[in-house]
Amino acid sequence: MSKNDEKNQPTDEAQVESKGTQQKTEGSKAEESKAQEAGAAEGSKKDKTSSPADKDVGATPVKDLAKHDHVGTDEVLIDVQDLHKAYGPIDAVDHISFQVRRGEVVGILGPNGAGKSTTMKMLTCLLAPTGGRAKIAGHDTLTESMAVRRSIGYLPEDTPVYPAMSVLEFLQFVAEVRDVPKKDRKRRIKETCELTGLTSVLGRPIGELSKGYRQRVGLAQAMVHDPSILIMDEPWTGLDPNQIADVRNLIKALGKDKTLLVSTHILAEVEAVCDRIVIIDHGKILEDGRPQDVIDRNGQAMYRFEMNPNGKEADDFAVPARSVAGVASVEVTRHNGNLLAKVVCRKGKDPGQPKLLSVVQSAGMSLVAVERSITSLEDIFRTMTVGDAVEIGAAA
Amino acid sequence: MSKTWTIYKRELGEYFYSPVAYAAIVILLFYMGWKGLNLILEAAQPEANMRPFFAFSPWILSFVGPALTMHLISEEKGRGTMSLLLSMPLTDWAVVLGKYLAALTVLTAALVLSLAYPITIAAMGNLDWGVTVGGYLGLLFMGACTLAIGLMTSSWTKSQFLAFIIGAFSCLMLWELGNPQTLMWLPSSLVGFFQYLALGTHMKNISKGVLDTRDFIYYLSIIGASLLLAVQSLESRRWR
Repeated sequence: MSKNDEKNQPTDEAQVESKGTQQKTEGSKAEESKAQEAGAAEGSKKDKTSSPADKDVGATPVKDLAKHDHVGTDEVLIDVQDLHKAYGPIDAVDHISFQVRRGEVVGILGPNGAGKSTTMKMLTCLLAPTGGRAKIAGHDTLTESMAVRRSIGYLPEDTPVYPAMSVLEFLQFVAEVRDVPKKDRKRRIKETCELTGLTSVLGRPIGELSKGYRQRVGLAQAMVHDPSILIMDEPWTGLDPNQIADVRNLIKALGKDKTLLVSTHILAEVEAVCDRIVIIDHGKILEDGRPQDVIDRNGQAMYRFEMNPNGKEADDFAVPARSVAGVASVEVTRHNGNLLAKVVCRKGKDPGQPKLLSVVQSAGMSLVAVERSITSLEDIFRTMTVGDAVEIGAAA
Repeated sequence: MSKTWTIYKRELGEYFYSPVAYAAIVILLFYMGWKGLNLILEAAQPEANMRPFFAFSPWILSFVGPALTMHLISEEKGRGTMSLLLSMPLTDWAVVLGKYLAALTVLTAALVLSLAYPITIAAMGNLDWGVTVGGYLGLLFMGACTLAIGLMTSSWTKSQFLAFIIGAFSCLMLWELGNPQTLMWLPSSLVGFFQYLALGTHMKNISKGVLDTRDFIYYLSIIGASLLLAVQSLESRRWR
């Protein structure tokens, strides 16, 4: 029983967080989450020794260290090598390779039809790849399909459920098919329902629930057997902002001791929950890295100056500013007698604020205000995945 | 095997909410009752037997079987729950067998309810229990075949309606093969073969009280082949 108690600890704490402590200051949250991560690492270490997939894990100090950094260990739980799926002449997934390590939360980003769902279906043994291979927890999806299916939880796109069943009946059914031992079933269902906030609707037919609750049921069925790997296809689709926040908190809580692969096109969520993002389009991987790294690699710096022209013309600033190395475009407009300049820099080439300020000075103008920003992940995503889009400002 | 049981329980539970299942059972009982009514009226005569009852009841199973099974796979495909199910650790056979056995249970329950007719006849006159038991055995096996065929066609499409139409058509064709009007047009060398293929031929033998292994092998082959094709259909989804 002590084993169970230890396992309960992180779950309960995670629930507290997911139930809405958004008011908490960032500092106290960070402290709490560190404490939880330590607890989660403890719990998963002791609880999962029986599973062959979890062999040789957790003994090294690397794991705890990694947990605090929230990037996972070196153990690769999802290993995709040269995966290829062709529907007739169309390559839905075009020879992609990526890896997900234990404890990582990885977001697969891409426009509709990019190959996200097809990739996930291959990982969950629903589709056989045309070429290449995928290994989940060390098992090949093609030759060891049962072992793969045992080690994952999967939330398919659009959250399919059995509308006539009650939430409890459905979760009991899934727990049974998912090989949850009979003695643990009740406890697991209770824990899962508490975590997903389903306790109040247990007896209701799923068909009568709102979209948000149905989504929770989908999440609950994916985790009722406490899998170490969760694969979720568009968990945010069709939810309102509050429900999106709920799912975000749940995924954050789950990400503390599980490996997650989440596909979506809601970029704010990706930035909020994912340790790493993989951007795919037309079946190909365009980017793979931490959100910040992706922004650093692809983002464009942008400056907005407000200047008092002191009788000078707009071109007195715009012309020399355009000749500064790294500047992609300069736009100057007039507003209440002042000049407003928007300077966009080339990808990865920011000349720096002092350099641009010196241009303002040498133009004989006086600075009123300046603001620097970076193009967002959303801009980057659009630039990469929209066929005719160009780098912002590149045409100027 | 335990997974088959899990699927079986879920499907059986689902039947309780299915208006189609209730309608199919009511139609079966109504039709059998209608055929049975004549027999009940004749029951005052010394030799009431149920042979005509078993000669005319079976073809209704060509509709009832596919009606009971049309939703089993096509609905899950259309709703997307099949993806959910097949991502879980269970074999395609467990899915198909669990669903099939649930449908078979419902049909058996309907046949048990229809026992009211022979019991009424027995209460009013002499009933040949040999013929009755044989007839019911035949109905059960033939029904089991129509369920398997219906399950197979359900695995081919997302549309329940299409699954029903193709299923009922297949069953009727198998039934009609043994019809004298069909056989009349065939070269005499093929008559025996077609008769063997027909659903009704074996039903006739069994309801006469003649229990021949060949008839049971026939029914079991149809069931086995249909279920195998259903499993293949599920399996083929992975390769598309």
